[in-house]
Amino acid sequence: MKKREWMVLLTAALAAGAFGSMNVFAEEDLSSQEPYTVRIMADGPCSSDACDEVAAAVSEITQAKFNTTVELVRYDFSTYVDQVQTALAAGDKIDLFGGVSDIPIPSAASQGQVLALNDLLESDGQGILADISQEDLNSTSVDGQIYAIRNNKELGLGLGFACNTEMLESLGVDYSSIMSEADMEDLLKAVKEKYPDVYPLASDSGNLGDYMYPIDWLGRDFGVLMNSFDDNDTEVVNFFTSDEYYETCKRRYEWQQEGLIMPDASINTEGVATLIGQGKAFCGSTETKPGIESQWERNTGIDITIIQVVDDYTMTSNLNNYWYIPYTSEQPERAMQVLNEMYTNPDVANLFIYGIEGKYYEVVDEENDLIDYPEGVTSDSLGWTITAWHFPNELIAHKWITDGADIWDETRAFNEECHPSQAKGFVWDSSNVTNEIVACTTVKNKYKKGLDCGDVDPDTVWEQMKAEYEEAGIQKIIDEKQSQLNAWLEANK
Amino acid sequence: MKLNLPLYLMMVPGLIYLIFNNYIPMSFTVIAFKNFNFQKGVWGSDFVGLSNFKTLFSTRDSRIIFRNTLAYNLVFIVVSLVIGLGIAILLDELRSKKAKRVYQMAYLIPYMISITVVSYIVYALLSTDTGFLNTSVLKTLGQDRISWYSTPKYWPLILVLVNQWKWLGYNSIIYYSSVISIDGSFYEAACIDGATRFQRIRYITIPVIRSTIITMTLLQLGSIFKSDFGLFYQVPMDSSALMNVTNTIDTYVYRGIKSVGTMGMSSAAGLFQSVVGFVLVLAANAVVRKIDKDSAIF
Repeated sequence: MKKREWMVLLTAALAAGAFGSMNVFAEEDLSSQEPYTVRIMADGPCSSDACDEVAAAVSEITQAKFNTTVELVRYDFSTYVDQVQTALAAGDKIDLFGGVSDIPIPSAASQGQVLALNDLLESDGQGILADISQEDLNSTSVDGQIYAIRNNKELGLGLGFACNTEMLESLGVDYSSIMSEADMEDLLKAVKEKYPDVYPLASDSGNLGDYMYPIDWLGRDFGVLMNSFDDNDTEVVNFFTSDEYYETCKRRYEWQQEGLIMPDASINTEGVATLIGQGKAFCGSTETKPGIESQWERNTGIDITIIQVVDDYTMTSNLNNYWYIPYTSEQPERAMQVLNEMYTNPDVANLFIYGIEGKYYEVVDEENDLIDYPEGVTSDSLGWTITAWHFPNELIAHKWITDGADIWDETRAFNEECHPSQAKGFVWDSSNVTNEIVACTTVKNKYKKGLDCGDVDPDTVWEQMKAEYEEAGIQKIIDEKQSQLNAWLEANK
Repeated sequence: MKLNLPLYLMMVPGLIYLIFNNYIPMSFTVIAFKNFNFQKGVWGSDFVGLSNFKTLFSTRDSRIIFRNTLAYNLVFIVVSLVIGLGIAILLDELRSKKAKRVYQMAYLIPYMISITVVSYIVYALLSTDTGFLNTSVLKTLGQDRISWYSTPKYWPLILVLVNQWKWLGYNSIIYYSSVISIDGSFYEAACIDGATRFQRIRYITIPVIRSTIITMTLLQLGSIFKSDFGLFYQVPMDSSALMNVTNTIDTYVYRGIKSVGTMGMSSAAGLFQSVVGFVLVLAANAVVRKIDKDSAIF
């Protein structure tokens, strides 16, 4: 035991040394702080035993450095947001929690759920500041106050379809010329003909919401820029009443009638990966990024080919995984120290992402830093789910064997090459039109799923839907967003 | 007072529970009138007047939502009264004790099944390409398949049926317990006078348990602006095509607020439902008291 502690201290000292002399002084100060426990909440189903084990291993590192222990709580994907909201409403102590798109920054900030981080970053988050560009920090700010730290991962997306490779090859259809969703029709028809029992296109648990246009969502509610590749396109429009959306719905309705989309697609409760993996479906829509094929192959268990339709681009809404320090943290500066460590220390990053080395995973290729499950171990038997994208910095962690040695380099290159939208960095503050957004969301919920999946003929509802959006105050949202965007464009010329 | 002291003492734990669980939290309904901020707390947040309530009434949907909530609940109250009472009387008429138990169990089982499971049972019946109704019943009858989850007109009936199926055991138990407490000599006397079965039910059973019926109905009226979330959200599988006939206040609030939700809006919706329910109970009770003083609750 003694020996181990010494080892840890030694490692910590070495690591500290590596950050340069300025930090060494800081390090000495920090290890003599009062004892404190940083309580972390994160997404993804994990057993409490596994969480405790990982937290204990992380604590060994943070204890030596900051005299801080770490407690980790994780919840299922489906309940995570509710659990966090409940804990915050009850005032439970949480020091750090992982943000997802259902806990958006403007609303968390305006409701006072999370703290502004500017001063904390200056005092305890230098490692983070050194790595994240000012532009990205602006994207997670409201009124100049930084409320969240974005994760280091792929920061853009493309759009396309994930297809069963075996079926795709057997059709003999040339798919290299597919440039839009409409072009998929011949392929889907060929599938229908050759495999009559297979759904050519399936929904993902009732969702078919990837629209094959490079839309900048400007904050994921209403009012978008239709084309992120056109710098002159700065007119905010409502996508859900646009001609592009009408065409998509009409086409999908026709596909549904011809049996090219699964029946009852909008109420389907099975994930598309399961349907494709079991051979019940041929393809589903997907966002694309480096490693997306291997991600699909892991989830489906079969060979997958990605047909990319929309080129890679990046917008503010792509920064959809980030970390918050909530208002219930008793010592926010201690939380920031740990967050900085999660962001900069590969050992800590590996622990949070993959768990304990030798037990949860083993290194199979020392040179390329590739890892895999030990024999006989699965995520179920460990009670630990790997959610690399959810933790602050996957780019300094090990690489999973199926992703390949270059995955993080590819991701970095991807981030460089993604076309930035003309409004990248613009943060939409919806607090003036909350009532209108709730009202419009009701309208959207009423029509979107059925239309997305081709279950409803757009001609029967379109005019009615447009009228309801008008009554719900869509124009007020669009006007507000347009004026905010214009001001932002003016300031960031 | 002295005589009743032990009785009052027995009331104390219940009162304490009520005060902490029901009365103290009432003061927090003030959130409904505030722009709630976690850091400022309940009392420190800014007052915004009625703006949180506006959201509830700001869409043309509000008419449909109120109509659905009210109409479904009224139908539920009437139907559950008729069926619950009917089953209670039928159970009472059964001579075999064993049969009574078996029937009671059978009626109660749906009540114990979670609504999520119920929604999948319904799905197994109604799914377009694999559902029992489409593949077995309609096909045998030579009818076309029906896309149930995108055809609103069937759903009022489906929802009433599902709700009854789930609740009839529970409803009948309360009526049944009143029915069996009726003194047997009434019936014997009626038999001797030559009353038929229906006459005995009409002139003995229903008048005797009238106050139970009225109390039950008043209680249900109190929650007429609330709806069974699982029934209206999960059973229709959140299908957007059915929204006009399945959207109620609770599902509307959930759908609207889960994305942009603030605490203020949720509280406003809850407060509105409670106040309207409270007023309805008072009103209904006043009417009952006018007609028949003894049956009123207060």
